[in-house]
Order: sequence, then structure tokens, then C-alpha cells
Amino acid sequence: MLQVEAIEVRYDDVPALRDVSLEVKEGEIVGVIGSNGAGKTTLLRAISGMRPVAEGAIILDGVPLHTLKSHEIAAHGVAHVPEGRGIFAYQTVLRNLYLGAFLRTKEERDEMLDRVFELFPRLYERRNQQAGTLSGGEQHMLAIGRGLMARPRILMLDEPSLGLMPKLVDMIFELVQRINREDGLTILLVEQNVLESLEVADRAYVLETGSLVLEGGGRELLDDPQVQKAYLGM
Amino acid sequence: MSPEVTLLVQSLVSGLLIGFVFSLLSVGLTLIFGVMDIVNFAHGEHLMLAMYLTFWMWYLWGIDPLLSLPVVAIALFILGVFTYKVLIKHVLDAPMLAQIFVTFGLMIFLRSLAQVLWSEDYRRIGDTWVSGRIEIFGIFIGLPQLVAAIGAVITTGVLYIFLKKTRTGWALEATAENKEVAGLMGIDTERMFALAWGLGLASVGVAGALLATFNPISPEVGAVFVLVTFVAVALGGFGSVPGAFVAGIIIGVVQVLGGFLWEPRFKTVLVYAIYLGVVFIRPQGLFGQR
Repeated sequence: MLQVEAIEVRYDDVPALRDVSLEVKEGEIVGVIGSNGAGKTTLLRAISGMRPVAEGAIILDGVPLHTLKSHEIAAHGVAHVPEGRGIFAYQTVLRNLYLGAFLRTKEERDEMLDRVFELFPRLYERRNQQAGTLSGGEQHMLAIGRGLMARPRILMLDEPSLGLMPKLVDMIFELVQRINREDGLTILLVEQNVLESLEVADRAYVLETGSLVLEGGGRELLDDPQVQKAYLGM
Repeated sequence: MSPEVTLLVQSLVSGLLIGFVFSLLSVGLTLIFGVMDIVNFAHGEHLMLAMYLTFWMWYLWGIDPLLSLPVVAIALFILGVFTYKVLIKHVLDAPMLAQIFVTFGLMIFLRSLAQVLWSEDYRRIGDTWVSGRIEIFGIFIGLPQLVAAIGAVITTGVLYIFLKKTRTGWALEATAENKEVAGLMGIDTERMFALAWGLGLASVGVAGALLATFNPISPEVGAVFVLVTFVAVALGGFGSVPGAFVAGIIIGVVQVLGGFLWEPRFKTVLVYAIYLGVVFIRPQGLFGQR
């Protein structure tokens, strides 16, 4: 479905990603793990058109995305839930969700809204509240919910568990599995939380200082001595 | 009423009326700034162009300013989109200084152009449909000023409803808050930038047509209004439409009150004193969020 082919992304001529290739198949949860600064966020930003791709190609079902602008990529069915949530803090929760469905018809939007409120009853309770007044966990939920509102073909989550307390982290990962199973949504998940990501991911890639160093099944990587040593402290 | 009270009320009313026009001008400026963080230093010159356009349509073809108002608004909308596409688009990612100089340069260019084309002479539109004045309880209200105030309030209201109630309005507000994330939502942010310029200048167009019914027109006329507008935008909070609206009214009233209570030549001193107060006490302005 999504193919990233040998891309290079630079910040001021310094490459942040070098020769990165990966694939996400329909219906999969694919994890990209790595430490801070490995280039995980840059990868998602490149896919969603927030960063220019210097070399290589990004293809979604035969359509090259790397030459398109953000809003065009969104129209092709890519939803990117950015790191640090990126919610519209001065808009209400409901308005945030509506903006997520900006490219959808009113019927599609309202239908999806029911689903999002079913997944996140808390968002329903707070629907008329300014998004900036939500707690950190609720803002994560809103960001994910807003991503779902687009009814994307692929949902990209950038560190959805960042800065959350353990109970909420579990909840977010359960939710990722749930939307994958129940809604058949394809998910590309970027995480520093290696253990939980590998548990939910069908396949995963390990990114180190801008290059992919390992790939394999989620379980497979959990048992990999290299991963255990570098990321799981074993 | 004693003469002093009458004079006071008279001043208050005229301050209020011109304040609404300041409001509309400020809303146009703050809209552009809010959406793209660029200050249009040529805002006053765009106002000047709108006033000249109204004047020439009246002078050459005898079209009343009220009739030419929609034409001027549309012309300025187009000019706004054009300005964005030809100039502003190219400095979006440029250093702030470059962004300042682009609109600053445009200001000087437009003013000089007006001097060359239309000379330094003051022009005035003679009789219009709204000429004359009415008297209520001994207070005289100029009809042109009254109509200008009403027109400004209506335009600001329409703009506000557009921002709050339409899908495109939401997209504009989302772009103003975070253009990167707005792009992720599928919003074409460059189109929103162009729209902000169009709407910003269309507001100026309406204000210009209304002001032209009673205010003399010259190449420098923009400078008179634009300084007050900048103060209103700062007072209201950069990027806040309701803020600009309220601040415009406050400044209109303060200006005449300053002249009334103190001395006419000091009237703008009070306005700038407010500005300093804002900068020192509440830099984000009355309604500012940033």
C-alpha cells in the first residue's frame, strides 16, 4: 500500500534520513522505533509533505506522494497525527474533530463522529470545551480522534504515548489495536516506547541516526538480542 | 442639557461613529496578520486606493459612493489576492525583515504612484445620497458618518459570521492557528493566505468607499488612518477579529475625548499612550491569545 523508497530528507543540507525504505501493507500495524533524534518524526513529516524529500520516492497505491503538498497528500487518504499533538487549542473539541473531516461530506463526518465518540466517551463529554483546556491525555485522544475523522486509508501516529502516565499509555496502545481490528485501519506507528509498540505491531523497523538498521515482525524484534540490549535494557 | 454636556455627548457620538470605521480597517489588518503573521504596512495605501477609486467613479461617471461600494470592495479583494500571489507568496519563508520591506516598499510605491497619477491635491466628493445631517436631542450627527458607521458594523459582522459559521471560515481560523497542521487536515493553506489578503483588502475597500463620502482624499490619506489602525490591532490583540473591533471603537472614542477634555492637538497623544500602556502591561492585547 505505502512504499517509501530510498528517501533522503535534509535539514539545512544535513541529512536527517538517509536511504530509508519501508513498506506498509493494507491492514497492518507497522512500527518504527528508535531513540530521540533518530529521524522518526522526520520520516512521518516527509510522508505527509511537511518536509521536502530530497531523494527517493514515496508511493501510495501507485500514486507518488513526494511531489505533492500536504493538503493533497491528505486528500489521498494519509492522516498524520503529529507529535506534541498539534491540536487547535483555541477551537472547541467538536471543531477540531470537524476540521479532521474537512475533506469529507457532512454525512461521512457525522457518521465518523459517532465512532470517535464511541471510542473516546471523554471527548463527547468535553465536546464544547476549548481544546487547549483538555488534559494531556485528552489532547492525545483528540489528536487521534481528529485523525480518524478523515477516514484515512493510512493513519500515521507520531509518539502517541509521549508524556502520558502508564495507565494512559496502555489505553492508547489498546486503542491502536482496536481501530486496526475493528475498523480495518492501516497504521504506521512511530514510537520511543519500544516494548509496547513491538507488542502491537505486525512488523517493525528500527531507525538509528537517520538509517534503518533492522526490520522484522514485532514479536521477532522483541526477541532480538540487539533490540533487547539497545532499547529494552536487557 | 447644558452646552458642556451637549458638547461632550456630541464628541462621544462622533468618536463612536468614526471608531466603527477604525474597527473595520483594523479587522482587515488583523485578519491578514492572524492568518499569516505578516503585517501589511501598505494597509493605509490600500485604503487610499479605495478612496480614489470611489472618488473617480463619482467624478467621471457620477456613480454615488454607496453604489460603487460593492465594486470597490470586489476590486480591492482582487487586488489583495493579486498582491499575495505576486509579492507576498515569495517571502513566506523569508526572514522577517524581508517580509517587512516587501509591504513597506509597496506602501512607498503606491503612495508615490498616487502622487504622480493624481497629484498632491486634496479631492472631495461633493453631494452624495448620504449628504446632510440629522439632529437628535440637540446632537448633530452627520449622515455620511452615520452611514459609514452602520456600513462598517454590518461588514464586520458579516465577516465575523463568515469566520465562525462557514467551512471556509473554519479553515481560515485553523490556518491562522497552525498552518502546518491545517495542511494535514487537507486545507490548502496557500489558498487561505490568498483569501485572507482578499478579505483583508475588501474590508479596506468598504471602509474606503464609506470614508470617501466625507473625508478628503489625497495620496497621504492612508497615513492618517493606518497609525490608528496599528494601535487598534495591537490593543485588540494581534490576529483577533473581535479584539480589533472593540479596540477600534475604544480608539475612536478616546481620540475625540482626548481632544475634548484636553486639547485638540493632543488627541492622538492619548491614543499612543494607550498603545504604550498595552505594550507595557498587556503585550498580547485585550483579546490576544499569543
